[in-house]
Amino acid sequence: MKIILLLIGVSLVLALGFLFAFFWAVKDGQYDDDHTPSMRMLFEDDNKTK
Amino acid sequence: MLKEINIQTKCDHCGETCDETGPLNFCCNGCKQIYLLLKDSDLTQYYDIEKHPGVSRYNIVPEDLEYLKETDAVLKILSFRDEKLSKVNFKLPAIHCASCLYLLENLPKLHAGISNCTVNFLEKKAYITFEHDQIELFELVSLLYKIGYEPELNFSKLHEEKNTTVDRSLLLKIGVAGFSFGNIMLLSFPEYLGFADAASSYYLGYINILLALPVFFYSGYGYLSDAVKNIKQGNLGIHVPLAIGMITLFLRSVYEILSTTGEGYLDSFAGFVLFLLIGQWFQDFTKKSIAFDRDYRSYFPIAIQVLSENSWISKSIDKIEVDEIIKVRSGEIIPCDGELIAGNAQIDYSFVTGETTPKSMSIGEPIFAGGKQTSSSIEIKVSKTVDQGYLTQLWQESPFKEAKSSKAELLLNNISKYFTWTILAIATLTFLFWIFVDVSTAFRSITAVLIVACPCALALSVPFILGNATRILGKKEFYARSTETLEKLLDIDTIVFDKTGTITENKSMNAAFIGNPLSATDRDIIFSVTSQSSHPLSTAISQEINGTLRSVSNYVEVPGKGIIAECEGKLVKIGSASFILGAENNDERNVIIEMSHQIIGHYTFEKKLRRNISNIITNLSSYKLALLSGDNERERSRMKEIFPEGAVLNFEQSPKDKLKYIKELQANGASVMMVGDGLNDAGALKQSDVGMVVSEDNNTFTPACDAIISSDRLAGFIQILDYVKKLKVALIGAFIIAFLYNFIGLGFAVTGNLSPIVAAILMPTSSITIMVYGLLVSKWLSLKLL
Repeated sequence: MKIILLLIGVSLVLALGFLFAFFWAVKDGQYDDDHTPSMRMLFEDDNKTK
Repeated sequence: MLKEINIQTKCDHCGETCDETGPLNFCCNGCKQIYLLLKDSDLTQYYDIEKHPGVSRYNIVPEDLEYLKETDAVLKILSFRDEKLSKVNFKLPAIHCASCLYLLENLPKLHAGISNCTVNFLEKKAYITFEHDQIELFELVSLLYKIGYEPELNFSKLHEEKNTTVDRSLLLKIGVAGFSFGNIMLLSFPEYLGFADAASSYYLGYINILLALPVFFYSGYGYLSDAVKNIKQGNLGIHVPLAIGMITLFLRSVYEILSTTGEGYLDSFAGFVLFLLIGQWFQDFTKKSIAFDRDYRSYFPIAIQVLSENSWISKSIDKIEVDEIIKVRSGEIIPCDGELIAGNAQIDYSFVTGETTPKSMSIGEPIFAGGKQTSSSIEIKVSKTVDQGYLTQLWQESPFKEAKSSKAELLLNNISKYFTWTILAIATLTFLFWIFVDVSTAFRSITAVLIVACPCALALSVPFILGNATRILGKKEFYARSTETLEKLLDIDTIVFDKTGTITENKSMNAAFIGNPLSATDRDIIFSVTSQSSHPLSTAISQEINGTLRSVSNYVEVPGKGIIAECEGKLVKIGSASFILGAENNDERNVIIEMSHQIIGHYTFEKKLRRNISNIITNLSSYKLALLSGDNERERSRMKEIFPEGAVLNFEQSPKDKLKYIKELQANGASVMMVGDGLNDAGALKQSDVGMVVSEDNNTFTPACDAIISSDRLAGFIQILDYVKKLKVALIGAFIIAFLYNFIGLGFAVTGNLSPIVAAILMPTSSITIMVYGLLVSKWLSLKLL
């Protein structure tokens, strides 16, 4: 049964990783504006042709 | 690209019709300049994303941006500045399509000094970073002007709070609660299904406590502190039973796990906090591009021309001192009280009084802040600084200082008071019953009662029903500040209207001719002459006649007085009484027509009524109605026709009178809604229980208020009121559902049989039922809205 505790530990570490990724995304401002990026992605990327 | 010659072409920049018929057409030089500028910088994709994305450059008046060279003003406008970089954010009301976004985000290509520009489309804001040794703020602003995006620059910009950090804690709290809820649930499964042996359930319990700690101390902290606040105010609002439930759930679970007497309810606990937070997040939705909190500062320009040692310099208006001489140009708002010393003053006081016919002033007369000069420039000697002015004093009145206190207790709070006492009573009774049988069962059942009676579902009903209704109404162009506005709308029994801009339209006027009937030629003559002028009264006359144009010669317009011209061989004079008769103190509102030295009659004017207004008012006759107008008595007979018998009609009301009237109504126990549009209603809007502003379009300034309705939607206002009333029934339905779940739970609890698995099923089910019910019912009821 010890193995289950190891697995729980691993899964918690993984989940914590995702929680921190979420924190980082929120603090980075990714959730402040959820409309503009959807429009921005449609533009041609002409920076590279220059 | 093929183009038919006969078809009217559209400007490739802004879409206005124009006369050119080349491969590329522009309605005016301004549009062409923008095109060339963008072409040089390789940004023609602007024209591929949307058709005719530009804003017409036809009517744009170049602004005086000199004041942006002052370091003082610059520092106030910038949000950040170091040795190299400056940051600034502007609201650009012209943002309307994907092309706008593309162009603005490519600003760095137009000027090397701009290092970055990020647009928030919904807020219509651009966040710009630039190197100030390469491009100064005023150059940046003139570049924005040049490409057609004028930033909103007014006095309030100088008072904006700097570096406001966005509050993102709600999202973080939801993240933490979601993380803990998921993991605790996962770890509780073995227990529920009977797989766990004693040893592992021991560890699992400890991990669950660790996971629940951040939920209690971080995610749920707000509810606990709100409950403490409520208790201190002697108000048993919804937060009190919520906090009792939370604390009992948490402490009992921790006790059970540590004493190995059970597995606890930590999954229910985390889920309960998570659902509450989701409800709060759902309710917090507001339309970001709409500002509900504007004050007089938003109406004033940042800077004005001031005479300093024989030359005009521009100075920011909070620095203007008494006895300085300022120059107010046509179309500008007068920022402070003073005395007219030069120029032809034609002042439109519609912001302040609601009266739009410009008032003539002679030299030496006092001029009040808030008026708009409609004729050529005037010079004013300042007698009071901006904060001391007539208009700004309204903001010193009490309603602007204290937060709105709601007389009407909100529905949910009312219910939860009784709810809290009932629960405490049931809990005590249960405890007293069991204490004589078995002490441990007594403790188990009293905690179970407090847990299961926790009004989580009840607390979710308002966010989901009214929150969703706010969104739905937003799509119908009725913008409520918050769900609280909708709740207050339920209790309204009196509706007070402002006249100008609410009952009548703001801009257009009806002209009526009084005199002998005009011949067709004379009508055409008057039409042709008045068509030449852009004065509002001329426009009203030419719209009324709408004849055929004849050629007009020797046209002379004396601003604020009248017109002299020749047409069809007749000398025509059209203008005010003093202009034509040379008389003094005549009614300036009438326009007299003289042809070949003979007066043939005059025009009178009245504001056009809003379409269907009498229907709208009749539909509202179940409410007590009143009208407050800054205008004089001459409109009384017309208003009497619109308003039902018994409605109070008050004229010549100053902004302070309006405010006082609302206060009196409230003192007599009425719940008042004020419908208005301008600064002259600002006090009344703020004082009333629900202040609603009628707005012609979303970009115009509106004073501080609780709700904004688009003027096209005013006809549907009765339906909105009706919808809100039905929502009340829906809310009561939600309360009943929530209580039912509480009763089922209580059945388990009073007998001491609330097992963790029952709680784990019951609590989320009740929350989800209310969410789904709330979304569906608010949508379903809205189907009848036009």
